[in-house]
Amino acid sequence: MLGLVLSACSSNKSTNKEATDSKASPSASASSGTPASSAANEEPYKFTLVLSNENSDYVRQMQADDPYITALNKISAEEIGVVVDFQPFEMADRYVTLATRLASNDMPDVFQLDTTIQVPELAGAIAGGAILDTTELLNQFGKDILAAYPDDFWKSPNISQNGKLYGVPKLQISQQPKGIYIRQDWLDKLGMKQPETLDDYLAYFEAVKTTDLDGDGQHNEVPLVLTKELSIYNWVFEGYFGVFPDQWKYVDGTAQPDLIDPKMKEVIGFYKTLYDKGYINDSMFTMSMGERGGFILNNPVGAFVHDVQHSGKLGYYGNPGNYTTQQGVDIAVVTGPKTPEGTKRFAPLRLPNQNVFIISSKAKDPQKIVEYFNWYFSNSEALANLLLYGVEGHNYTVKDGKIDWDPLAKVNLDERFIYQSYISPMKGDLRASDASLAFDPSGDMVKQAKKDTLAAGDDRGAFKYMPVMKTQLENPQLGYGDGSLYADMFAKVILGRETLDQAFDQFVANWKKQGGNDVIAEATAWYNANK
Amino acid sequence: MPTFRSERWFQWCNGFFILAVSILMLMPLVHLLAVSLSAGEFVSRNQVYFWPKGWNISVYEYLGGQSRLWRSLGVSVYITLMGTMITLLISTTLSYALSRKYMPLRSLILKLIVVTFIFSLPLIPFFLVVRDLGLLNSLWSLMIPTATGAYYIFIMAAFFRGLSSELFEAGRIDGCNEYRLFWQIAVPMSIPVIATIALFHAVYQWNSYFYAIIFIRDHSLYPMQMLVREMVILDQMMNNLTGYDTSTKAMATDQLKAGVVLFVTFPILLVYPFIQKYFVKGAMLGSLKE
Amino acid sequence: MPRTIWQALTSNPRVGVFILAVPGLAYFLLFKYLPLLGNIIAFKNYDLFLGIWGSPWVGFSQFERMFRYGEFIQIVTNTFAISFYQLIFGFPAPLILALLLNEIRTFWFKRFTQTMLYLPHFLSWIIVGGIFIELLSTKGMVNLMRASLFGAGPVQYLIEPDYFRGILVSIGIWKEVGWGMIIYLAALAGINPSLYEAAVVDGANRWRQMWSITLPALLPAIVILFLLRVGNLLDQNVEQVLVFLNPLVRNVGEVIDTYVYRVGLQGAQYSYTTAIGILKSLVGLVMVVSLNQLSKKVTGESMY
Repeated sequence: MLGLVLSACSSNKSTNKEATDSKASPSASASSGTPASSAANEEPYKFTLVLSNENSDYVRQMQADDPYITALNKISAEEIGVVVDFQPFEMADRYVTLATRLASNDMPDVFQLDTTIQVPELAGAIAGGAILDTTELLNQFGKDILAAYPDDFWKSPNISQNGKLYGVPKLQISQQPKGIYIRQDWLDKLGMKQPETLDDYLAYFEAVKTTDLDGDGQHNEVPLVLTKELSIYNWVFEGYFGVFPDQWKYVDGTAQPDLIDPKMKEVIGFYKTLYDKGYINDSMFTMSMGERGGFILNNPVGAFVHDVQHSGKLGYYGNPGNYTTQQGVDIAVVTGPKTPEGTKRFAPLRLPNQNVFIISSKAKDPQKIVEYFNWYFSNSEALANLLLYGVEGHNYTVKDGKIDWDPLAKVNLDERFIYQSYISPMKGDLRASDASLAFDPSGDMVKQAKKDTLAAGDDRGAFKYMPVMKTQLENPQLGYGDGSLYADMFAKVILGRETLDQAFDQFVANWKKQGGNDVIAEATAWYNANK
Repeated sequence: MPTFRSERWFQWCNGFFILAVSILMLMPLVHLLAVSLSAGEFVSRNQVYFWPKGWNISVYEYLGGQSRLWRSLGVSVYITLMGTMITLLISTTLSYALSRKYMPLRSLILKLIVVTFIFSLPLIPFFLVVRDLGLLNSLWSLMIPTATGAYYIFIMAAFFRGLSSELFEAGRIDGCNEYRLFWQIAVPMSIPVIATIALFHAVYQWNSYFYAIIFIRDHSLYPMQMLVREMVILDQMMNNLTGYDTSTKAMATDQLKAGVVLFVTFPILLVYPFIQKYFVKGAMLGSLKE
Repeated sequence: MPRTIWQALTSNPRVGVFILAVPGLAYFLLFKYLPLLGNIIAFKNYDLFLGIWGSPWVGFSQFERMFRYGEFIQIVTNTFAISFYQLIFGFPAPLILALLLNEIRTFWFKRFTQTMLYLPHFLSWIIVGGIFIELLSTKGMVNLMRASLFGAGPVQYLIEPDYFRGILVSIGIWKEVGWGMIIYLAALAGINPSLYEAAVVDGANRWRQMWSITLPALLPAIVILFLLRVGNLLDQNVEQVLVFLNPLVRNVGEVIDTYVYRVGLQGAQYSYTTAIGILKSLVGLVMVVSLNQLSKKVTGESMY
């Protein structure tokens, strides 16, 4: 459009990184790969993969001759005749990146989204055919990918629209279960066992509060750390009561949000008890998630919620070396209190997919792209070694034909994320995989926690894939995080500014009045159409 | 009749007040400096106030070794100097023109400029203009699209308007054309305001990173604030999902942040004292209003 | 005598001065006006792929959405209130500081403190916020001083609705007053010292001098800066507000711009946020037009 006015001035200096065209290898073997020898003779097909840098400094400073990318491309060139040009964008800017790409009609071959294709940015692009319909390609060349996900995923709005599939998903390892991180060393000191019932937790918190566990002569131990966003990392006891702020249930023909469920009142009441007893950090309403990490590592903290995979001795919070001010920190992860019925549902599981990679309709050889992604599920030994141990000579050595990989070597501590996650676009964060956990001294604990969480399951049903409803998009105060009516009420009750009953009932009334009723109607309609 | 005593009393009170406020302003930076030079464990325990505890320069050693930091410093210096020159060029000429009552379409143009600062600039159309001009992924995109605005123009125009008209009339009698009137009369008489706008823009250019996010893809062209953003702001924004850089383990992240902020702020602080002398000079060259 | 067409043209002052203005005019046309036309998406349902022209028209429905927003009255009230506090306290502050600083006679002291006073301008709100949150917390310096000086119990300043706006505005002033005074210092430098000498001879004291010489000399700058300020009256610095905003003070602190930010997080609400921006700008437009007229009549100074 502006071209009309500015065609005289425009030049082709704008960066359009197109995939270099090459002769595609004629022998395209779809799945389990023995190296296709004919592929080695021809130029491998190269496509551009624009993906998040996952906030990693290493990725930000990656050079063109990076050893991991080079190694990966070498293997994929030999085995299936495809190489990839990794172009990371800043994770925080992913939507701006998507928007500018779309607006300037400069979509790369493959672009990484968050969990779903149902983002407003893409509405016109999908309808207008700029995003490739991958249904047929997946059916023919992506069989292993199809098999890796449950059936209901392929029907969900995350990946499908009007019955067609768009893009290729990336696995969420074990659906990122959450757990409560507690201090095993403190439990040992106190002679307590790991908390199981609600009373156990209360006892643990009380002990932490009143005992000088780090021996500094001060009672500054914080039993439980919560932050102001009230996000999933704050949901310690919601599971016990069976309601979650982001969950819906289908009751008597309408969709009902847990947010206004009377049981939620009990949840809030319980947190108030904890707060009144001094078990929660009093910076709760001014501390953000970004600050929590530093707080945990630098202060004596009794419990907090986090993704289970970081609790092993090699994990970020499990590694005692990261706790600069304390000695002998021993982290254990547990899956929340058991209800009187004996169930233990801690936190909602993440969806089966962590991301979706959309393919541009202008990609020169989308079949090769799908084959490439499918290859990640193959039995390729070279690939498996790369994704677990890294590059030979750089991350590990071979002694007597056996691989000697030291997870605690500096290079591996620093760069494990790259070869176990970043260069594995299909399989998600492999640091949480069982294979990787086998190397962690606390690996069994983490594996058990994963198992427990998955076993406890998820009763969200079809609501699992429900996108944010239209009315809520315009009324962010109807959600549950920072800036919501729920958070306002929660804070006022916890701090005793308002009484629980009155505040909660007022909240429900306000929520409904300010658009909540519309959200309920929209959710019900969605559920009926998608169950 | 002001007495000597009341004058002295006023001077002391005023001076004390100014000093107190100045110290208040200085404290956060002193605190940051102390944090950046302290040993990690004191920082973690929030025990550092205005003096370093446990002398430790590893933050600066680390930063000094980061070649991308130096490279981006070069980029920042370049776009600040060059960008300010471009800004002064465009702003002074236009402001001068708009201060002359005989400028054609003057009233209309002024009104149109008012519109540009009241209504905000939508981002995507702005991006598309820059793209269509072929400026993407070049340093020009950081210097030209943001070169000037109503703020600079109106301030400078007001100053130009206030210049005594006698000198211009004399110049015209001497046969100066507009260009010479501008360059040889108006500009030398307006050094304080030109210096001020130069300072404003230099600081703006030095501190900006927002447009670098959408216009620049090549990391080697990143200005320093982008790196600061990565180290300080984004760190705050993101959850700890991905692992960590153990080379900084010797220092608490707060220290690194403090060090980076000081590293980036220090150069631009040197500019103002340099500019200050122009504020005095102007007084010699004539009054602003008759 | 003009010898070439070029000389003929440039010797005409009107043409000459217009040519001088060309680079600036080209800039405004390309980088301000052209994108400004993009505001038209407020009347459409803008889709990134369909582009500005391809997106469908929806009339005023984006504007209506704003009025239907459940907390509309609250955020508008908050925005006006905070903006007015900032105007009433924040606008005069740099001027007053400049005038006081101008009275200092010791040259090196004046120079030295000038450099210190603008330092907070360079810190980002994330840092400034972090510092003040620490200072105002229950175990922070302010409360510790209250305890030791007055024996008073701690006040949780950051989560009291009554304090929020005051804290927000004050810290904002603290951060920017030293920077904002620079322009006034530049203007003060341009005042002819002989005017003051004459006034002293006439027996005027410092306050009389300020009233008759200094302030009139500063009037053009004051008027321009004031009009520039009110043109964007309802604009707030999102970073600044968000760093202090928390659930307990949201009812007094949530402003239009933080709402726009939250909506923006949900993704691609370009048309809606542009419409909101236009509504804010209309208020600014009314302010500028009316106050410009007023200033013309009362002070003789105006922006256009």
